[in-house]
Amino acid sequence: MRQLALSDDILLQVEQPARYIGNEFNSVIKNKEDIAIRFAMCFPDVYEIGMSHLGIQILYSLLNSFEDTWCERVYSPWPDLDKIMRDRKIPLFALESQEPVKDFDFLGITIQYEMCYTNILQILDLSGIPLLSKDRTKKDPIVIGGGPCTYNPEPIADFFDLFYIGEGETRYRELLDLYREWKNSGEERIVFLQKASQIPGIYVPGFYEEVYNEDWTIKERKKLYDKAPDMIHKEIVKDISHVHYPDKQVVPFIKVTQDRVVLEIQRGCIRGCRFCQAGELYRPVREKDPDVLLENAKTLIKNTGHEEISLSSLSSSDYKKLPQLLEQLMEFCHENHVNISLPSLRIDAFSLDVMKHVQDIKKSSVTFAPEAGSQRMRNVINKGLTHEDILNGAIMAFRGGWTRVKLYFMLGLPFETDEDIAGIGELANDIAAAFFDEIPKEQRREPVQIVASTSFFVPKPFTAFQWARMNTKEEFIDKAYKTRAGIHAQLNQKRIKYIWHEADLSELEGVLARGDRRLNKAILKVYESGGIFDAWSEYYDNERWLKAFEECGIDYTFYTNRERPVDEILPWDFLDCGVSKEFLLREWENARKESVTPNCKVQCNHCGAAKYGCGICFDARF
Amino acid sequence: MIENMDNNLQEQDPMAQKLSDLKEESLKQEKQVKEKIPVIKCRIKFAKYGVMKFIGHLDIMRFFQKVFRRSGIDIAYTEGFSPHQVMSFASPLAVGVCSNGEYLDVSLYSATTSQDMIDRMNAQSVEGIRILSFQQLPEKAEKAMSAVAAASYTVAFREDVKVRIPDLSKVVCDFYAQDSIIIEKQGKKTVSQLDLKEHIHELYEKDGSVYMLIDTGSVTHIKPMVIMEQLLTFAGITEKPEELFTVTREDTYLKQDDQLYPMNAFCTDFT
Ligand code: SF4
Ligand code: SF4
Repeated sequence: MRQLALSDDILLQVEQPARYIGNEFNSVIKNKEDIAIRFAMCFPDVYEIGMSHLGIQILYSLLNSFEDTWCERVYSPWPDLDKIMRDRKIPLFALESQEPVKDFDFLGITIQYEMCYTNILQILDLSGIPLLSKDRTKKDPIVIGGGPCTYNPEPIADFFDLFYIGEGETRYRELLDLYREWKNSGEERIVFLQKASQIPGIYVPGFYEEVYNEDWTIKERKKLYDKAPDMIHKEIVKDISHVHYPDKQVVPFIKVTQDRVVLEIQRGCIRGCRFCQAGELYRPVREKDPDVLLENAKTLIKNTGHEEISLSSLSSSDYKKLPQLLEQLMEFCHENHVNISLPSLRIDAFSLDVMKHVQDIKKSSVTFAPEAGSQRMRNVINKGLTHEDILNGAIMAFRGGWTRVKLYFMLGLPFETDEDIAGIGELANDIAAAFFDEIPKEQRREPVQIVASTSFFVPKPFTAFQWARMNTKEEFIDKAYKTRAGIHAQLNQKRIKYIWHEADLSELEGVLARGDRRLNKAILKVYESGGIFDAWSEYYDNERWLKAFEECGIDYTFYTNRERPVDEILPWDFLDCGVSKEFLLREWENARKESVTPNCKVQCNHCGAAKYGCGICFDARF
Repeated sequence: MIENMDNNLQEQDPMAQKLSDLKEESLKQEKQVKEKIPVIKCRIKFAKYGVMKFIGHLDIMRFFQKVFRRSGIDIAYTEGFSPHQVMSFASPLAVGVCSNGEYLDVSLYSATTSQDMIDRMNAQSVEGIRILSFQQLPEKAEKAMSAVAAASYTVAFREDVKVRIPDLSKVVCDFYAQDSIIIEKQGKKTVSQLDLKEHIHELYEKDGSVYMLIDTGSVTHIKPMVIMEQLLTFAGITEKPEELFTVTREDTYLKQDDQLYPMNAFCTDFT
């Protein structure tokens, strides 16, 4: 039997010992002697969050499909265990073998949100790997980052040896082959990095340097290795139906956030909402063959024993063959006592009909994400959802027996006025009024309940709003109060509940999202003064960040509180995510003009992603 | 797209037809359940050991639900939107404790042989959970949860502690030979007295460890560590029992005509 890295005493002392013991069904154990490459795949947050991430499951399965490679999982030890490991000098270990991460060949870290940056340092530190890439030697694992945050990797560039830009399925084999060859040679670490920099999609931050102007803007990027590429182009899977998909997903013992089979039905989104980074990064939309999906679903349900399956995509309603897929899937699931969950479905007659069959109306709610309160503002952000759409959808839902409606909005969007904010309360009120108008008294099962929640808008790289000024914390809070006042002024205010999120975290997220290399020092300082789990409000300490910025001589408002001129060099300009800067600029202008851009299914807007030669750009339009 | 929704409403498209078929089908099935499809009541015995001792009771339940699904055992489901399997565990095991005799009741629509079902489940299990028997329960049997009356345990010295009780066999014997072993139990308001001796059915030394058969379950639930605490005091040792011992549950018992029997005593194999 495997020897656990932690003693019984420790495991009985910490919250949820199951986070650290591995042994889950479908986790992969290999014979060390047959293995050339040990790969530790890390999601730098607590187990329950990390285990829910589909991307890791895909890469885990892909890397383990290579005979010479053993991929294991690593998550952030929760603060209770973190403290014990530091006190007793226990090195961080991977779940499967329970062996120290430091002895691995690779440490891959998926970076899904900015607020996990200090957790990356926690992982490195607990592993005993030097925090800075430049201090590592041939003995240390190669630290490689992937995921959406790598589309502006500069604030964490010092901590990584490599970044993989784009979809993981395409280049790992090449990278591993290169590694094996280098490992057996007597060559220095830098030689491997040099060779890796020649692989498409691989970015070696150490081969570049940012040079700054007096006014803090970027003057230029200098190359420190002349063969390093000027531009890094994102990697993309062209035929998503026939790319590796895990036929077994690791089944956790404890309840995790995604406690179900996750079936990815397509990648990308046709919509082009101007605030949305995912909508740009994963272009073009590639739909998976419904027959392949059905096979995947059956295999996965059988191999995991999960009682629920969830369709995953940015916007499932846009999947062309959704009715066909759902029909077959529902039949299969019905026979096998499996529930279906359908997030990101647009509310319409079809989706309501489907939902009626797969969930309990009494316990569920219908969700709309208008993102902005007024039509004018929805045109600015290119959210093609009208007041009428929402009202009609809500009325249909009410007639179908639903009484709960959730509404999602953003505050602090570019060009926002007080009228736009007032629109949030008005829209919520109109929906409540529609309930009372449309549903006769005797048919009201319970009174209508509307929950309006707002988040604060954070501009992200590679969106039309990448140049936008972000609101200050004070402005955000002021807008939240206005939203609340607007709701309270409504006739049906008693039926509307308002929720908003903290402004501190949004502000910092804004700094990190569009920052440059000068932030590395500050992040390191925050970590050194005890900051971890910043994504968890109970551990987030705003003061710690402000102090670190000050000590590093960083005026963080430089990154957030100004509109950036369109000719300014942006920290992520050296990356090519497929969408051209010209297109984003056009969209930035269209936003200013409140002009709507049709989605990819209606017409091609020549964003640049057609160069990949796949997906929606080449599908017949209807 | 939203623009099409009115059309969707009017047209009776094949999808909608299919959906309403499905709905009828499920109504039919619900009715069947209400009319009670005959089910076969079963009792499963399993061992929990190794790293699985860190998995809590509720998660073990979830684990079993998935094992049943993966192994294709024809288990009965409840009706409604989220059908689930009905399971009854004999006695929840504390985190950190291993067991050679855990029991779980389920209902099946159909069964194969005991050996086949054991093999299928073990093939879908993990290291640390092993199915030992899978048998039919007599028609009138009480559910596992309410039937539990006692459990046996082996309490062993931890390998990493040095404390040992000299002449353990005699100490245990003398301890058990007392007329009564009174402990005070703190109730909500009052303090009551309990004679442990009445709840110990067997207590002796075995291979350097302490073996005990004691009352467990809904009537009187005695924890092995409570007995060990008294034993340590009796032996003049001041350490807390949690620091010295590990506990393994050996088997779980039901009571019939004032006699204790292992939980699967009246079960029969599927052949
Ligand atoms: S619909 Fe809009 S917000 Fe949603 S993923 Fe697509 S582009 Fe992003
Ligand atoms: S090239 Fe045209 S169709 Fe393709 S993703 Fe861009 S806008 Fe859409």
